[in-house]
Amino acid sequence: MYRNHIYTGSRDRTIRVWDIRTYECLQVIGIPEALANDRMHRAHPNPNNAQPDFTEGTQVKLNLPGEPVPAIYHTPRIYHDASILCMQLDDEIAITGSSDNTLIIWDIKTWQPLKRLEHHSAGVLDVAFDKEKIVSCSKDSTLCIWDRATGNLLQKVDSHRGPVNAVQLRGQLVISASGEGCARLWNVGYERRFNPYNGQYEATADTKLVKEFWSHERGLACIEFSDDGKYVLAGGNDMMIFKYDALTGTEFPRMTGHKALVRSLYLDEASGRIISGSYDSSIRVWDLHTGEQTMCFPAWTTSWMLSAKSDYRRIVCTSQDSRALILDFGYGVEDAELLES
Amino acid sequence: MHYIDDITSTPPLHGDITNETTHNTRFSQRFATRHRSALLERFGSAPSSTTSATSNTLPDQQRPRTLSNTLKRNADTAAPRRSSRRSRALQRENPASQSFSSTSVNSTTEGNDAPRLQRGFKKMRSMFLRASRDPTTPMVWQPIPSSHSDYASSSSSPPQNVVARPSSSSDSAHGAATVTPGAYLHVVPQHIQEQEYPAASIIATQPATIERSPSPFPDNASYLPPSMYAFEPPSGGSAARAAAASANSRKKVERKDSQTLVTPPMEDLYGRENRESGIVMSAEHSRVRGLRSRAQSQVKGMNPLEILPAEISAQIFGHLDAHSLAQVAQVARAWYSLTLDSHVWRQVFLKTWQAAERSNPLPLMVGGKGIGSQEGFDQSWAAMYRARKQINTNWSKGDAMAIYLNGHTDSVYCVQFDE
Repeated sequence: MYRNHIYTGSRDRTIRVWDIRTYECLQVIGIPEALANDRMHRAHPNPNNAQPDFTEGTQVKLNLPGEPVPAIYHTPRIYHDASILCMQLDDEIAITGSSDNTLIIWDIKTWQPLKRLEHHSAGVLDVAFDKEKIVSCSKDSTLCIWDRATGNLLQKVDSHRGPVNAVQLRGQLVISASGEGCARLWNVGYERRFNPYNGQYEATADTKLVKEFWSHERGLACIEFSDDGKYVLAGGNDMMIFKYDALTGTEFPRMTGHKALVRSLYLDEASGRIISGSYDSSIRVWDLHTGEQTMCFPAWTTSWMLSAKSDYRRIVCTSQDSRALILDFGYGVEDAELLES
Repeated sequence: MHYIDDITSTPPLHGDITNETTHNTRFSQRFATRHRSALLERFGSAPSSTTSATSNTLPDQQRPRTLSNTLKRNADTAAPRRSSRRSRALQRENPASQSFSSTSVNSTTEGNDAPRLQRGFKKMRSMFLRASRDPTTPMVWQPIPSSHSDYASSSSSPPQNVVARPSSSSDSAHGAATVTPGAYLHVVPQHIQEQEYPAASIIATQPATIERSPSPFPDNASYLPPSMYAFEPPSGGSAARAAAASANSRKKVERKDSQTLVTPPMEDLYGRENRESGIVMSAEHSRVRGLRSRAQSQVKGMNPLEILPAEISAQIFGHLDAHSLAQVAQVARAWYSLTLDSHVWRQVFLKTWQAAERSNPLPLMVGGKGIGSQEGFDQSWAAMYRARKQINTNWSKGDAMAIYLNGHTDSVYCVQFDE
């Protein structure tokens, strides 16, 4: 970790790597047509994506047609040939899920693909993993448990009745949010045993349902687990954020305020802040303990908020208007660079 | 001179007194012996050589500690004439002290002292009762050695009257069977009393409850001082009691001295606050007070971190929060320089901003922790604290800078970042 990068995945079938300090695009990984698409987009900007006047940051330095291909464009051996819907990374690998029904494991340093995971029959909507296992959820209303070491499919869980939009993992506990309006807590039961017959370690998963958390009446789009697994946060088409006690299943007062579907949730437990992005194109900040809204950033993008993440000084969110937005609370603060890891 | 040698062999507690006029010398004797009795009580052995050279008729363990000097002196053949002469001279000079000591001592005035003895017994009884209520309370009372010398020299009775440790067989040489009533009260363990105190008059006069009450020190006999009623009844803390008793008696003697002899008034010499200390200060009162007040003022203004190593101070400061640390830095220049230690601010910073890790395995982290690189030790933690504080202020105000990353040509579905 600690490379000071921002990674975005888009419907334009590319993954882009940005520098968090200079806001420069460092890498474009994806389809071979990425450069051509970018040039086309540059030459004929989409009139629907009107850029606000206060736009800052830098743009990709694009060469004119006929000039050599910039080094930042990179088409790997295997790549997603559809929208990149989800991404998760740690200090070794990154895993992306796509509408082409597959997941790809990448080496985070070189962005070379390591393995493609193929089993889902619909778009992979979310992915979560730790040192042992990978959990992916799909529009085909299934969860798949994979072994991280080998990439083998360990178990397929298909008890959801709707598309599984989000998944989160804490140790052996997995929580998944479905379009049917139900969040389910699972115990994965991952085990790794030595097989004396072939002399190899074999992983097994025995997933059992622990608890169900139901939304108000509509589907859930996003789910978040607190670090200690004590709270479950969920948001969806009810335009509110639900908070449940993971042990007892009791529901805390709902956080209302969004005017449209809550598309993404992120919990920064160190500061007790919940970041939510919504289809009303606003980013809202909530207090984890009181459930009150502390901040609202409406209309900073021209379209839906699709994803939002945060750390101690910034919110990074992405929008349907093909942009990523950094809300930097440490901009211009003296000595703020000392805090960087 | 035996006594003087005896006394001055102890370390001089206040050297300027011992070499002055006769009454001063006598006073210092008395004080020194009394003080030694307190020392004996406190430390268990006399600092002078006479105690160690006592007669070996009794085993050291069984011998009452404070009586050994008297025994030695009375057994000494060279001493009595001088001591009697001395005590007679003392009586001539100071009749008050004579009456002070004769009440408890003189066997010739035994018949006249009956009401006084009754009072003494009453007092003793109450004391015994009080002591018997708390068996852990040590019941050791010190005789005053100067009174012993007075008593031993002035009275014709041999010291056998005084000796009262009957358990050993060699005691027959001292004839310890009889106890002079009112002079020394001997509390003996019950089995010993039954065996060897068949006709002791003290037993007849004491209530039965007292005899039955267990002696806190079965091996060690306890004695009442001869001038019992001059003391406050002891209740607990034998050393403190002995010190208080000696101070009381000293005060009494001082007053008598100041009345009869032409001396500077003792109140001026010792001052009101010095009476409790047990140490006679010969210095001028005002000067003493000046010294003390100066010392006190030094204590008040002392910098406690001056005597601590810088690492300890930094450790202490590290337990403060940032606000208190900023206040501490304004106390003194020395403290300010201590707060500049990066270790202090490191502790404060990490205590404030380092989040507890509450899950195992750790969840995948997004972004940075905002606590620096954690690698170098020469980070400016105070500046980091300020920056972090400012960032949090911006969070609470919603004061953010918006930066757009343009490049994607369609909806951006997912984002991750690290720092």
